[in-house]
Amino acid sequence: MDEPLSGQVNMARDHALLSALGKNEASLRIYGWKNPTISFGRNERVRGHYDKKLASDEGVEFVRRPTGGKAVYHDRELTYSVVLPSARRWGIRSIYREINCAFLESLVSLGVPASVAHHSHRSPHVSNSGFCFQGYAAGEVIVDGKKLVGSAQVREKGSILQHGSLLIAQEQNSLERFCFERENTQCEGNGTSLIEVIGREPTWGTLVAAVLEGFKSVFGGEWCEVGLRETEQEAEAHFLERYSSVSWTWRK
Amino acid sequence: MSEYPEGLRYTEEHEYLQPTEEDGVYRVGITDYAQAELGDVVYVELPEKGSHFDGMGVFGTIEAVKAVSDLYCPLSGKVVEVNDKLDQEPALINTDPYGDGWMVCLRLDEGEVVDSMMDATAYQVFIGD
Repeated sequence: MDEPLSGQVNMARDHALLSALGKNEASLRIYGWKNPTISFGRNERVRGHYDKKLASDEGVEFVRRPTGGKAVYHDRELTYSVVLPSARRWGIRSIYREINCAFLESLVSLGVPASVAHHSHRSPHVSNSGFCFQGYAAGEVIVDGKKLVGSAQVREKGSILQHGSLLIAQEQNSLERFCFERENTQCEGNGTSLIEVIGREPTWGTLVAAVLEGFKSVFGGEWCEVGLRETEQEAEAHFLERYSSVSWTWRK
Repeated sequence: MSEYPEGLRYTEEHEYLQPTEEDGVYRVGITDYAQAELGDVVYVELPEKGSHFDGMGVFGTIEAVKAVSDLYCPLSGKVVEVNDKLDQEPALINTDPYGDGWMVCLRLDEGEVVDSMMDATAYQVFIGD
């Protein structure tokens, strides 16, 4: 569990946990964001599309993730990252399924009528340059056909990192304000949030406890709360250079 | 069920080596199993022609709708050709992984032995199909 951190540190820490994963280990990290931050997918083409000055004036930061997918506006959300050894069968889909099952259990305990999407969906009005919450892939957590938890993965050196956002408040429409080409950017179907679905905001403690219980129930095993180890701190310092660099954030 | 053509060699990271007409030069791509597991490929980052990689060195990355994954060079060698078509049409990896979806041609370093890799039967057992 981490206090809200900058986007750069959040991404560096997730990547550090991936690169320093020990044998027979897995980790779950739950965190928030110090400032509102727009994160881009690792290979997303965004250079020239966003108004950096407006974002800076409003205290909104940018960061590029190690994982794939499309832009997300991070503010009032619960963010998670899971690091697991990569199974011999790769397990991209099975890990998605397991993590989403954990979220389903957590959400049901909070009275959220969530389900897992059986098919992918993307609005026909949304271009490929759209945002993460404008569509969903098979296996993602939805409510009433709208995405509630958006996730992405990266697989490196025998381990998998999956991180994502459980939206507490619906703020994804904010992305459009920071795009230059607003007329081409449709925000239709931009996900949903806990507040929209259950009409109230659960306390942070309630939310964290529910998510933890969901993960413990689905993954089993022995759990303990630990801080960053020395190897992870070193890796974080190494990756912080990448995630703080303008050339990485705006590389495409 | 995925396809695993005979005559190709496979890695535990789901890349294949496919012989070409030229001795010691092989096409490299990812298997049908891997593309199905990844889902719709949206981007692939490949090396420059002339690059050299050690066996199991990372030669590129592939991004599907949700997952980014490193690509591993099956054996040591030099990239002699790159499939530029994938830049505009990465989905060829999904539709034709062993044909138009190949990624690079690799000239193996002297002493590299493809027989050390899995054949189609062994790969099928490996992935439990």
